[in-house]
Amino acid sequence: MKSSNMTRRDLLRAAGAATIIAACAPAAQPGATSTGKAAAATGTLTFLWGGDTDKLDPPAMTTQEGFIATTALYEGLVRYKPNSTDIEPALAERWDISSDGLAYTFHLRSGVKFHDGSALTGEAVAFTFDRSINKDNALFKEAQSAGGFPFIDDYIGNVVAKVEAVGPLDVRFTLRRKFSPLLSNLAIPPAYVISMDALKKFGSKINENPVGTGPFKFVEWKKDDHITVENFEGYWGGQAKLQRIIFQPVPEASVRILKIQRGEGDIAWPFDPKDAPSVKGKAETDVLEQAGLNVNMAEFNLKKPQFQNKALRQALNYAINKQELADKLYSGAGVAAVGALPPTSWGFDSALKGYPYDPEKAKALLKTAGYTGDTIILDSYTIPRGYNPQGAKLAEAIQQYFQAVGVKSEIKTTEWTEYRKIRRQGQLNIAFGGWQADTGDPENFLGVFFYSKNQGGVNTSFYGTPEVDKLLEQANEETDVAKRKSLFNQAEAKIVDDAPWLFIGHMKQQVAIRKRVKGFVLQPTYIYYFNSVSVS
Amino acid sequence: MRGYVLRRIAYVVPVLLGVVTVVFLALRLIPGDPAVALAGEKASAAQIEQMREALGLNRPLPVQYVDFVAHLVRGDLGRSIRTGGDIRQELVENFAPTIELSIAALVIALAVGLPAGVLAALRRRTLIEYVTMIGSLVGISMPVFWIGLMLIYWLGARAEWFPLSGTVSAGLEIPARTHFYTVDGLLTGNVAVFADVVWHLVLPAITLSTITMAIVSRMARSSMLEVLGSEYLVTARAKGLRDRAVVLGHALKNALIPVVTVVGLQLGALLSGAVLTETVFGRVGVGRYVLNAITARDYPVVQATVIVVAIFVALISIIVDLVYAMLDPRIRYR
Repeated sequence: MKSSNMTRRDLLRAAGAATIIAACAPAAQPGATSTGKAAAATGTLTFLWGGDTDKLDPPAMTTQEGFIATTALYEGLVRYKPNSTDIEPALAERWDISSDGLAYTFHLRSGVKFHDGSALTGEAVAFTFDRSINKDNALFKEAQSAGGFPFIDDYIGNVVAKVEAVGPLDVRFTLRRKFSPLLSNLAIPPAYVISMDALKKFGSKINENPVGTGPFKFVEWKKDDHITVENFEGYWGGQAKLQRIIFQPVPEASVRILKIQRGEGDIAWPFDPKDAPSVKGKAETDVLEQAGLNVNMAEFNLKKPQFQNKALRQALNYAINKQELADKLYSGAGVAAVGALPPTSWGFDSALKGYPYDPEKAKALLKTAGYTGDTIILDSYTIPRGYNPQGAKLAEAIQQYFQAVGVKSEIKTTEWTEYRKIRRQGQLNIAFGGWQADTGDPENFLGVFFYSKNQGGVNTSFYGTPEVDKLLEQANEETDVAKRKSLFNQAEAKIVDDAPWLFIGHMKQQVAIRKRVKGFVLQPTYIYYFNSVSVS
Repeated sequence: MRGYVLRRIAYVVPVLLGVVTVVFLALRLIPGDPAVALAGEKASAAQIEQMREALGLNRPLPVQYVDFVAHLVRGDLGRSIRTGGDIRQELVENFAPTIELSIAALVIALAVGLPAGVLAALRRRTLIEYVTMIGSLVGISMPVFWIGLMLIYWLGARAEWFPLSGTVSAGLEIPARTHFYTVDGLLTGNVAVFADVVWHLVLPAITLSTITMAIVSRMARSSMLEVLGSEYLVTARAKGLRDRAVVLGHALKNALIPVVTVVGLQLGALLSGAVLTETVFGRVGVGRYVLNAITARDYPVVQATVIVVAIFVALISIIVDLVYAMLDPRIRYR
């Protein structure tokens, strides 16, 4: 019994200590360990997102989070201009394209250093690309057991035969065929240039030890907890203003917003559009938004005779109130679609009318189409997607619009992975889907979905006409941007008239931000550049 | 006794083999091809095939199974497809914070639930009993994520007493030695760092403790009531022992036996409760780790985690049986 008294006293003492400790806890706040080495750079920016990136090895990662974090650490030969999908020089100062369009020679900036002190050379650039596109490269093979390099072939590997140094600061890409989207594709994170020394040293472990030329250098990555990067004083393009950036996953969307309100985070992306009013235009916080580089749609499986009726497809397009969906279903975070390209793409055709909501016209067209009242199956996935945060609720809304014009439909939902599989096999009917573009090139919408050779790949409406094929091929070979735009516009006009999709909408890109953050610019590609961002 | 323990451990082997087989088959037979999932929405058919080959998924199932078990026996859990990291290392990094959270939750559950249950039994039909029983009903019925969000909102965002999410404050670097954040925090020798870790632990631990707390208090009350009615207690009182000695010395020890069973079972439940708690609070831990792996169809990680958790739960049940013997001299293992 005596000992129990002692224990209680000890407990009280411990409780007292805990109170004191709790009292000093708030002192341990962000930035407490800032070294403050670089005089010009100050402050820590905390960037909140939903889940951690899968990887930090540029060609290996598959998440947008990885694309954002690596953009602080790495750079490509070219990059996107602020809030634009136009290209500007980055590591390459300039480039020449051979007259046959099959050789691109990049002339690198001199004096650029990687974070490990090694110099940027033509050899280093060739080393990075040989690893990611040459299937005989030992480092390429080593990476396969952990998922390999999933995106690079679509954008670079399939068209580039080899990459070689042709001078100390010159590197040549030899193409298999003319491919003008290449420049734009070289700006995306999977094409970032990695230190050759570091790759030789770390191999696949470059994933945990990133070494690039970017404005920030890697400090640490505690998986699922945070990624910390720190100002790189030796940056060639003028030192960045921030001392540190911390990228932190906060899985609960509502908690991300609470953290922004309380100042535990500076930028939150993504978040639930319903929470936007609680941070938009407030004293300390705001929301930055614009139409995203994505599309939300449902495709007709043209393999099925039922949907080979153009008047029916057009009728169903007229039957949907796209603006109402954008405002109600997506709480104002949507933009109604007129075609496949979002308004933020440089290929967007402002003259395109699309299918404005017109139930009467829909009914008339249904008569022309000879619709006799048979049930149409709407195939939907279940989980929310970036281009459709409402998941299967979209199918329910569409069902009601169909019903209003006298079309019977039934919703069938399938688990996401299985859904994608059977969709590619052509087993679905009207199938919901969408796309978040990786590059700013219109080819990344129109080519992947409507080029006949991509049928069964991403083109799962199985659309393909000689006319559109030809226009898309010409657009891929042409290097003049104005001429390319015209070719894309012609192709899209034909596609929209053929109506292989229900053209639904584009989700806005929304970022919640504290007003103490200055110089943060949205990018259509979601690849944010932190060079000129500062905190006050 | 030693023979008993060895036999119990030997029984774990067939159980584990069963778990390994079921996990292996389940991940391969459920709809949703891992190669399709891993190659991403934008992959071409050729890329998916390439992925299937790289992961060895194109081999016959029996070959994959033998290969899997062979690696497992050697302690090789493979590489995570999602993160590219070594799974054994990642499991160590994620298990420790979850165990830490579970222990904290268990301590809270016992510290509150046990006295509440005992008091409710001793003070029947008083306010204490009603409050305890209604409280435990609420605790057991409320979804964990909802309790978590309410605590975050009221005690975090409104009162500003606690941080809203995370394991430590952003920007605080703690060298990972044991991967138990509280221990690593102490090892820094910096009181503020340790306090920061504890400060982040409070709300998640309370959240995770609610169900266990409710079960423990109900269990303690009913088993205490049963013991209080037994004849040997009447004897104890008759020989003139004071109330306090009767309750603490005679009744409580016997009443604890069923509670120990429940606590043992709850340790397994706490691990699964950690999935929600860690996600709501954005904490590092095995629950969120495996959830991310499931979402990404990172099947090597799911396999490895399920197997390690199975071993863990099996060991707990052995320990629970041994604790019985300590509490109840009538129980003897041979």
